[in-house]
Amino acid sequence: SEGCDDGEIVIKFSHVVAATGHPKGDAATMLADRVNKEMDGKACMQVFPNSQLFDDDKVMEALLLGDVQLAAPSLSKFEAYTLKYRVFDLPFLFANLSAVDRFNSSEAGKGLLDSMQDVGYQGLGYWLSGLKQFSANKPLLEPSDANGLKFRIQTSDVAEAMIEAIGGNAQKLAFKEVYGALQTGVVDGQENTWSNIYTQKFFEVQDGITETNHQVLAYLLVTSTEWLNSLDDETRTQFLKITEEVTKAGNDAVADAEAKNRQRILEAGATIRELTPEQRAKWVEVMKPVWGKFQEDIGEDLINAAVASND
Amino acid sequence: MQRVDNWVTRFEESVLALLLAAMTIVSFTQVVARYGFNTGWTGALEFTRILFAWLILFGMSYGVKIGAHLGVDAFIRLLPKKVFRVIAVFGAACGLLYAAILLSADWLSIFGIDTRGGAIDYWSRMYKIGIGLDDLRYPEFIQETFGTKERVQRWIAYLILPLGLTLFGFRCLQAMIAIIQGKQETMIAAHEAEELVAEHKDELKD
Amino acid sequence: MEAAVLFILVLGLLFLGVPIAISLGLSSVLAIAFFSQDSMSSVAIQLFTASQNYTLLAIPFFILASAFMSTGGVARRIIRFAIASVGHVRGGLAIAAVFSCMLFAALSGSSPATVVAIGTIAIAGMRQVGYSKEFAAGVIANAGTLGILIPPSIVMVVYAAATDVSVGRMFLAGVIPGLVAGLMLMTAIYVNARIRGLQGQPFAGFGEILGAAREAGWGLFLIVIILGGIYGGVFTPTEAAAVAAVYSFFIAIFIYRDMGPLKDIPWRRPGEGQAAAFVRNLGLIAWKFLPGCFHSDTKKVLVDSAKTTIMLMFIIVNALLFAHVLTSERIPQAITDWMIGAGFNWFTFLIAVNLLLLLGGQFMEPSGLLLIVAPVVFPIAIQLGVDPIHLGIIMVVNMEIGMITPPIGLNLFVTSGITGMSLIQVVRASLPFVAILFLFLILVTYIPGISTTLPYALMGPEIITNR
Ligand code: NA
Ligand code: NA
Repeated sequence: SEGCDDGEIVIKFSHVVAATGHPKGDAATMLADRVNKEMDGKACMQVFPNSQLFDDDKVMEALLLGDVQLAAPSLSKFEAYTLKYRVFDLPFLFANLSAVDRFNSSEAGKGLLDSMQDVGYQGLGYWLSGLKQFSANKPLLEPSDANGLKFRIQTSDVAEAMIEAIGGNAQKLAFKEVYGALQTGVVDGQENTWSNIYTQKFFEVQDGITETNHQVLAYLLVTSTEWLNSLDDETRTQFLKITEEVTKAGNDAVADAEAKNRQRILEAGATIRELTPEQRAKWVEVMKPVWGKFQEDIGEDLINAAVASND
Repeated sequence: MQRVDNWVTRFEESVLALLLAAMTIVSFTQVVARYGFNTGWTGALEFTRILFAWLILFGMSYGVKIGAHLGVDAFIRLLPKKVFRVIAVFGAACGLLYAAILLSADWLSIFGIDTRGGAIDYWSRMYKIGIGLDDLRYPEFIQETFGTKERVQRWIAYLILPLGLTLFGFRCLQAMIAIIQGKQETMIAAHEAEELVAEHKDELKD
Repeated sequence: MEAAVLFILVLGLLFLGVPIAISLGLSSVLAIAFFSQDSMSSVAIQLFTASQNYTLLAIPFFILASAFMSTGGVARRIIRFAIASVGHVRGGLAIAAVFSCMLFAALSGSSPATVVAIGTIAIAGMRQVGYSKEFAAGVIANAGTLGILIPPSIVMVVYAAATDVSVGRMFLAGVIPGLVAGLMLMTAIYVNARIRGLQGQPFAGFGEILGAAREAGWGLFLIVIILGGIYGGVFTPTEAAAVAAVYSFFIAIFIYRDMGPLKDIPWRRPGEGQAAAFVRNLGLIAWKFLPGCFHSDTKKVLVDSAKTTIMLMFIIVNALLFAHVLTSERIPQAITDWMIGAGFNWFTFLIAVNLLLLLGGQFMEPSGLLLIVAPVVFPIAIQLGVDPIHLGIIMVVNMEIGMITPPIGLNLFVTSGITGMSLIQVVRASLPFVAILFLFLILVTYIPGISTTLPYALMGPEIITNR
């Protein structure tokens, strides 16, 4: 399946997670399977997992140079190109994963896919990974519990402001270093999805995980406009249709996978703390001012559209 | 001429020393800031990594100049002197070829090889779209005084690619000429501790 | 087919005396031009990416720390301490030389540095008490290889960068094997000394042990900084390396004062009171701090370290380019499929890895070799159930043996260089000890616990989410 025949359009998909067992890796594999079966003779897709080819920073440049055709970096990686994707980072914006889905398929969400056309990128769909939870080396029930703690975050101004709002200290660390850093106390806590907390075993080296669902973690399936425009109409239509279907199927599986991994963490003997409505209200109250800081970058109408998707 | 040479060497060594010192100090300060004061500079890591790339890509030509790049000379030393010299010239030519292809591979199409791009093409594309680095931002007074964008542009960091490769090619060419003229034997060092050993050469000899 | 052309090209260029880095880099570049759809621009991206690898960033810092420590006369102090503590047993001076190499290895990430620093002093000392030059040289050449097994280790950093395992775990994994290898060498020396009826030095007394320890302690405290800092949670291994570099600078210039603006200024003048000396030294350090930073000795260490860094990193960066070409042409996958299909199990696989590395180690600089071999063998090892940390230690021990086996062995060259002995003489001298290291390699290969017990007890098992 991996060797491409002569005359086939080669589609290289480079990403940074394992080929299986991670929602992004699974979706990429699914996409490659379908393209290679249904577009046989016309196109052929090769997936390079685990940063084998490029990391998330350089893959964007490789897209422009035409050496890679597909990538799916985390949304927070697009800050250098557009600030609009910061909407996904806003804390306590989406009530649950279906709200995110509704926003993504709304006019506003779809329009957002085109927001980097001027730099030469075309978004093809949002690949959800889950909602993020906080964990630390001490119980976190109220925002004040996080005061003075060092949290590992992904590169994102919003996340940094969010950690500042709860009186914590935001630290950037490579993903693979997080376990060791939590264990030895280089950082006190982290925020991530159930699946990442489970597969990286963060729960082993934390006091417990607080079910905050405070932020969505999602990736953007992205290609270069130049490449997409170079396809003939029929091929492009077929390719985009497959992409759309795989995006939907992948996202539908995410909620399930998240619930399963949450359960596995419990079974491993870790503590999961649920917030009472009052406690949750306190977190929201402390973090909501963060929205205001980024309203100008994102656009008020976009935020309103996102809020509307909660109903 | 000799004086210019010495001046250039001093300049190259100062740049290298400065890059290494800056990397060390920024990383060290970052640890102190985090552990001692629970704070830090977000751009520190990216800055250090760019300095690291500059150290290597700037330094690789200096390595050719002082003949510090490692190679295996055990086999070619068995050959007659004349053959040895031809092969040594070939070694330097390989370095020149490496730099020339990496700078821009477009010229290979003369020989019917289908390939394109290179460091110059990469750099100029980054220059044209002008996108910024992830974490490295201009201090506010620079943004205000010079009206720059918020983020430091990627092309500034990548400038060392075409620059370093050009210098590298130039030094290889120089080595090639020196070998042809018989002023230099090869462009390689046989092992990584040659200089260290030279400093302590035969210290324990009877 | 492409794979064959690529490997033949690299080997051909290597044998023609083309610099290792260019052999790798030029082959990669030509492979992309001829066989691949990729543009040369993406090779340029890779060149830059490889040059700013976060894990590898530890390498220049460790080189710098080691350079300050070597120039700063720490070796002399370590040897004094080693002789005071083990010099009185039979074969004491040779055993102390091994012990010194082990201690210096814990400060330095490289083997030749260890050989030069300890060897130049210890070989002369051993000869004075009646050892032959050959024996002394053999001991040092072998014990010097511990430089890359006992943490910190540049080779381990490279392995971690190539396979995405944690540097901290690799460092911890080297501790027990390093002690075992050192003890094996010491035992051999002791047995030899008994057979030949050699006596030890007179016991110097606990006062001398304490005095020597206090002197060497400033240098040896670096071990605490590196290992303690990483596991105590103060910093990551890369940061630990930066702290080590700054600490070594401070110790060399302001405490040991074998170099820099305070050179030969004593801590205590004759007749000076303790308090007066304390105040004078404090003032001196404050007053001379900036001159110390910009002193010509400091600059020389910086330039020397930069040279070493460039030489190593240029190979590493091009080996990464080469590995990238292998990956994008899917060659490691093909080899994995073939090896699994050929019915290799973990036992036979590890023999194959050992042979491959011993052979490759003859022509290739260790880090470069590791970067090419690791991406190929790592996925196979994982599939066959070999622990990634264990695999890393096996690779490091292979690199050690490569340094002391002919025709090309770094420690052989270095030892021959400083002693003025011919290469053949050094080879013959170190041969008995090479046999011990081979025995050690078999132990390490087939008893994973030697490597994995310590890191897993302290840090938990390595999580393989990648590959
Ligand atoms: Na070491
Ligand atoms: Na060897």
